[in-house]
Amino acid sequence: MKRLTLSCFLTACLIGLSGVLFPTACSRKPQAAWPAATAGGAPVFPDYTADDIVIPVNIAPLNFIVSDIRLPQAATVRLQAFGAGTPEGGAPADALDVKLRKKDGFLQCVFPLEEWHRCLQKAAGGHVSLGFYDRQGRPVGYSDTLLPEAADSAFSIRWQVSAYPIDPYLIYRLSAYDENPCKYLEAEERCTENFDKRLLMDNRLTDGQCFNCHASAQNDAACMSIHLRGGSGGTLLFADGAFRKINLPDGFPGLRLAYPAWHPSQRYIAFSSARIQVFPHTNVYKTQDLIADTLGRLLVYDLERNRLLPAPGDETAAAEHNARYEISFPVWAPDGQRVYFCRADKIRFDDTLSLVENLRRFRYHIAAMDFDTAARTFSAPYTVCADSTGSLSLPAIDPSGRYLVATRLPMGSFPSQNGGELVLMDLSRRDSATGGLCPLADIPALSSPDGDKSHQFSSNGRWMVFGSKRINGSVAAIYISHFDRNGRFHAPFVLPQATGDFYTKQLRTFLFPVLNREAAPFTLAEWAEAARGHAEPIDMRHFAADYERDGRQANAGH
Amino acid sequence: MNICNAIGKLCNLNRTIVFFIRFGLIAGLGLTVSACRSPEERCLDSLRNAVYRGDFENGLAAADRFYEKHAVEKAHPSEEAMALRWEISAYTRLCLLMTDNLNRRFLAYYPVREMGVMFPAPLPLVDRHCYAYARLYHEMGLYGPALPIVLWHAEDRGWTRETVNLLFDIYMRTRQYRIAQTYLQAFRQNGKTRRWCDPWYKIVTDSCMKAATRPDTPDGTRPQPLTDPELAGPLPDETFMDGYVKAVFRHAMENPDPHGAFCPNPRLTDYYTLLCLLEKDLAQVPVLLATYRRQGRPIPDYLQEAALIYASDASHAEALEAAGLTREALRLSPAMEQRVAKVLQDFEMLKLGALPFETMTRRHAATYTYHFLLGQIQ
Repeated sequence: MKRLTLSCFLTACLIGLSGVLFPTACSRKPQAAWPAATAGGAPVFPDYTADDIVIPVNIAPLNFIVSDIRLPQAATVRLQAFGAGTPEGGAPADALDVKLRKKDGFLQCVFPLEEWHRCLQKAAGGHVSLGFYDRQGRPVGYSDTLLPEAADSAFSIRWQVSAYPIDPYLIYRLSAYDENPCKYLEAEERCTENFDKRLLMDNRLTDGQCFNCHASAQNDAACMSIHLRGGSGGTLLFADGAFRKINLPDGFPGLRLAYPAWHPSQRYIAFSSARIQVFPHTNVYKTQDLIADTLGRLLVYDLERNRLLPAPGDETAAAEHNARYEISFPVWAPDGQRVYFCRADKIRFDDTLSLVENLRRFRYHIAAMDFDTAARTFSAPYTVCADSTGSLSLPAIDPSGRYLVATRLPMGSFPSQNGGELVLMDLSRRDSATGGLCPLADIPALSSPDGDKSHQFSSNGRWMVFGSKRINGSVAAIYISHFDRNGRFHAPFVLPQATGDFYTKQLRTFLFPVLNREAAPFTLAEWAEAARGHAEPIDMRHFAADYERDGRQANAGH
Repeated sequence: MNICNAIGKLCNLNRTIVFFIRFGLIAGLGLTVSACRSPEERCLDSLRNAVYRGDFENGLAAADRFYEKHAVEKAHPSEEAMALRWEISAYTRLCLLMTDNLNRRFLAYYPVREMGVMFPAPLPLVDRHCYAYARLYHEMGLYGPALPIVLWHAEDRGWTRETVNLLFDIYMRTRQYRIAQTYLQAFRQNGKTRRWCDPWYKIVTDSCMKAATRPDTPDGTRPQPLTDPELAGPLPDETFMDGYVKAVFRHAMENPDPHGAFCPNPRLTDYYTLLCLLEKDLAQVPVLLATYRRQGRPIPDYLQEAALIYASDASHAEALEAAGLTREALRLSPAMEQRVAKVLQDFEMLKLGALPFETMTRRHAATYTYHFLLGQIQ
């Protein structure tokens, strides 16, 4: 009897103890933090709730996580596909129910791939609608103390579905820390129709060599280039099914073949070369340096003859132009008959001004020069567009050749600085108020306070990808925006990922997204072998005189 | 019974023998392992542990013990050994700064070649980023350079409790709450880093929530306009840190911190002072003296020496007095006057050839006056 009593007592003690200990142990594990980027109201993350979002018909599922505070009762998401011309209140062409599952502290909404694509196909030209339902199948209300008027109304999301597909492959560079130098760099190729991805470049295979400025010719992955820095540096070209590594010979220390732009004929590549200077902030609350580039000049490379063309005009005109202007970020018009670039007056630092006042005088505008493909000569450059409030950089032209999108920076043209907003130029119009320059317009649908840059159009011109730090202010992610026939951008959405909480813990920054119509025809091993290989020197005989006349002997950083 | 007792005693004896054998084996193994490690490794471990505990005095003592025996590196040291020495010197400088000894004892390390270099990043030869540098920049309030070094260090060697703490502290101080939250979430995926970042969870989450309700900042979390006008540079790479410190110090003197923090902070002042003194820029002495007085801190030895040298010019002395920087007001030590006088006296004898250079060095190399007259430290 005594033994039984003791056993009961001990069992009771154990139960009591576990009752005390178990919640304590659990309480040591804090809840997953809902991303601050959406603290203002959106009940899903990434924030796919903007009214004006248009998605491509072939895009991968837009998976997301659901706030269990703002949509506490949500258990199911119902996606309904409405084809083009379906009247308001009409029956959906297809539907898909997805149960929300708790994983890693979040309510995850993960759409099954096949059903998702089936729904999107049926909604092409129409829209899809997402409703949130509780376990009993009742619509869930939106609860937010910041927006009390929105409480208790049934919450739903609506996406327009464009019949225009987006290019199925996207190449981007991944770096460990923002745009500042880091040890490990990778370039990945991601399929935009699903979540497949593969590593294309990795600098751990090339002794930590830094690489940047990848570009393909008009969304054609069969024609690519990448600039490599460091000991066995050079520019790697992939054309005609093989790699080729080129480099400038000794004697041109101030030059680099960076920021490439392929001519549509795939015979020429326009590069710009610049010297990079770092300006750390003396304001101790700023943790990102400002980078300015000077000694910028345009270099046009002829792949067939392995030599540089003088640009603009003849060698004398090119030297004069280079002596007067800073040039960076060239881009070809889709017909190949013009090259656009960023240009600023060269300035001497004025000792009576502060450093920042001096740097603010580096205001770039967009200039262009015509290219005669038969004679391989350039016209005299002319200004296309200027902005009185900022400096224009990173131009990208839509495939129709009518629109140009640039990043407006406070100063300089180097994209590695906080800030930067996208602006749109209509190249077909002239504004008499600005002396016949193209009009420039803000793009409110894309603007964010954290810096948007590195934009590229899709091959059909209906989509633009760009990098933005809007999720957390530091790490850039890739956004996609629809560009309609009227020259209007729609609300962007972040590149979808296999899990909705991907961006809540993503520490690597996505840079320089490039859309391609097909997968890159090389492997990581082939790239690494080519990157380590010997570089073929460019024939510089026709360039040396220009270089010497210009007197550039400074060392370039990039 | 007696037999039983005897067997019992024998067993006890056996146990004792077994215990001693085991103890001997374990101790021997420990000693062997310890002996296999180089003095550099042992010193660096002690230094790191002391710094991680915040016990900078003991860290400095460990460094001193090492330098007593190994001030000069062996002939043809391996790259690994040199890398360790560079790292030891980085931790030593951090300890000097944190114990207010930078401007009292820095020159005493004159035989140590790698101590002659101030604070480059990354470490020379090995391209490694050192926690000591990140901590040092952080202590000086220079979050801009501290942050990438924390991240590079983590890329090199993985995250540690100390780098996690430094990272979150920098993000909180620079009010970058959203990226801090992203790190929080990423660290939660791993049991080890989760434990380290748990103490930051509430701080970061609360800060994010507070910031989200502030409409006065562009995105609710950023305290400054996106394009702030204060820039330092351009700074050539080889003097990046020193040039940056100078720019920040001068900027802080001209622009008091709007957030209420005292600027320039005392650690930055110490570093800047040593920089000016090593460069023999005595024109900065009045500013430095005024800064220490404003901070209510005693004038460090090297600055006292520099002030006495500076005041040896009559016009400078008048200017100092006019600014209220008299010897009495600054409480310059009489012993310091004797020290300077003695170095000057020996210097005259050296010039006359009456004193060997080695003797001069042995007697006075640890003084600022010697450095001012003869030193070459950069």
